[in-house]
Amino acid sequence: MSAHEHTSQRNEIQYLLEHSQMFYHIRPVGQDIIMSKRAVEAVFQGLYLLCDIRGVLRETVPHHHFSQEQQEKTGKTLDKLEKQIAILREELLK
Amino acid sequence: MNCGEGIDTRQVDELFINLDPIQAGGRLTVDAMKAVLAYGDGYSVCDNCEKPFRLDCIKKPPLAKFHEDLAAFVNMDVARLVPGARRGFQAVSDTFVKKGDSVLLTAYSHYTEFLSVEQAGGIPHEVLADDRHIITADAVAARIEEVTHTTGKSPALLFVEEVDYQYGNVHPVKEIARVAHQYDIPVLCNGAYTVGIMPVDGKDLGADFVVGSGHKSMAAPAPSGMLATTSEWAEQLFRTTRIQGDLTGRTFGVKEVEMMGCTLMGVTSIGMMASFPHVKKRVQEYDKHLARCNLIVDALCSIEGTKVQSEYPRRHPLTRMNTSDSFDTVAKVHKKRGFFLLSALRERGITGIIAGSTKVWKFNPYGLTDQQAQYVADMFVDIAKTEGLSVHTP
Repeated sequence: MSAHEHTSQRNEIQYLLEHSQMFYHIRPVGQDIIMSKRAVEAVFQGLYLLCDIRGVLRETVPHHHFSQEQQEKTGKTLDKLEKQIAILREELLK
Repeated sequence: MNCGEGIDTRQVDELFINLDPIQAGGRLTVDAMKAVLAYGDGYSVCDNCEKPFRLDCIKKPPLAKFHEDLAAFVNMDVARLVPGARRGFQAVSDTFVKKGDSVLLTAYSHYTEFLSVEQAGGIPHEVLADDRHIITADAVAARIEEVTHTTGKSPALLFVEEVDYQYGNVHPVKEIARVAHQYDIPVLCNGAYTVGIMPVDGKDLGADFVVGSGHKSMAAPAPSGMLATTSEWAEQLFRTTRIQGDLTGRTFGVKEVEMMGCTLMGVTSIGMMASFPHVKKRVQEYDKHLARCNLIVDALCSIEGTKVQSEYPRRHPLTRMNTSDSFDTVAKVHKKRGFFLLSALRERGITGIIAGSTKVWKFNPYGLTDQQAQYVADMFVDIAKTEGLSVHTP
């Protein structure tokens, strides 16, 4: 691949990334299915929320006795996680 | 639970308080964990690499800014990401040490500093520590005089650890650099245990080069690190390629020879960058980390026969203990022999000291919370009491 071709491909990828909104709810094209950006974001958001919980586990190791504040924070994190899972169900399993 | 075929999921820091001397400062921040998830693919930071096609010039993610911030963080002029501190040593030795040159190292120099000198063809000359396990400026001056007198030429480079890996002692780099500069010897300050742990001011120290370790002290994945220098040396150290293919005539832009072009093209740089705001904050809270360390050392020293071999009070959390007259006396008669100590610690949710060590061992409590530090202190005392050792009440 020449440098020019490489740059062109880069630009194309960049364009697609920046305009990925257009993929919302796009459905079967031939044999392919392009997933929604909403589902992808829910996956990452879910993973990030789990990282937040992992952080609290490390802060409280070895007994994992959560303070009131940590309990409240983790409760909110789990609520958000459930929302992300609901989005994934909605986007991917319908 | 596996995370790949035959690969256990590592849960050490989720299940235990980890006192491993080399792991404490490299534990990822939560933001780094997230960044690692998103940027785990190979050349992940290269999506938007544009001319001049070099890592330190990438604007998205903001690696160019990160490089500037790293230099400012250690108060130097220019910084580059390197795959571990050792690659920083290698770049400096390769640039400034010629075959047969003398190079000063210390009794506490890391083996990779020696290897970098070996690779460059230099001749190592060590500076010994004093009785307190400190490298002094006087000892450096004496060694420079001796080497210069013997070889007829002053050393080409001096390596000095700001904090050493054996005792975790803080060495007087500023005074040492002042002496070295009187002989026109450039100074590499090995900050593998300090950059990202405690405030480091390269120019105040008089360092010509500051090397830091991402995976040891900057909450980053391995292998990662940084090499910073002043404008005086930057052009030489970060010289760009001039080579040309003899048949194709190809040239290679602004790739830097010592960096082998780009260095950390994915998860390592992004992890280091994600942790950086937290790292900047934690060095400002260094006194709190030290207080927690001293709390644990005090508890250990309350056990009869226990000595701290590092300087005390501690000025760095990496600490070397001597328990030959306490825990090792237990080991001699315990059914688990020397393994009893780690076993007892693990039963209490603590790990990280070398299995089987009950005479001389090191630990590093950096990053623990107040509660965790108190717990570790209490558990060392609890183990001592359980095994029948005397404990002094403070």
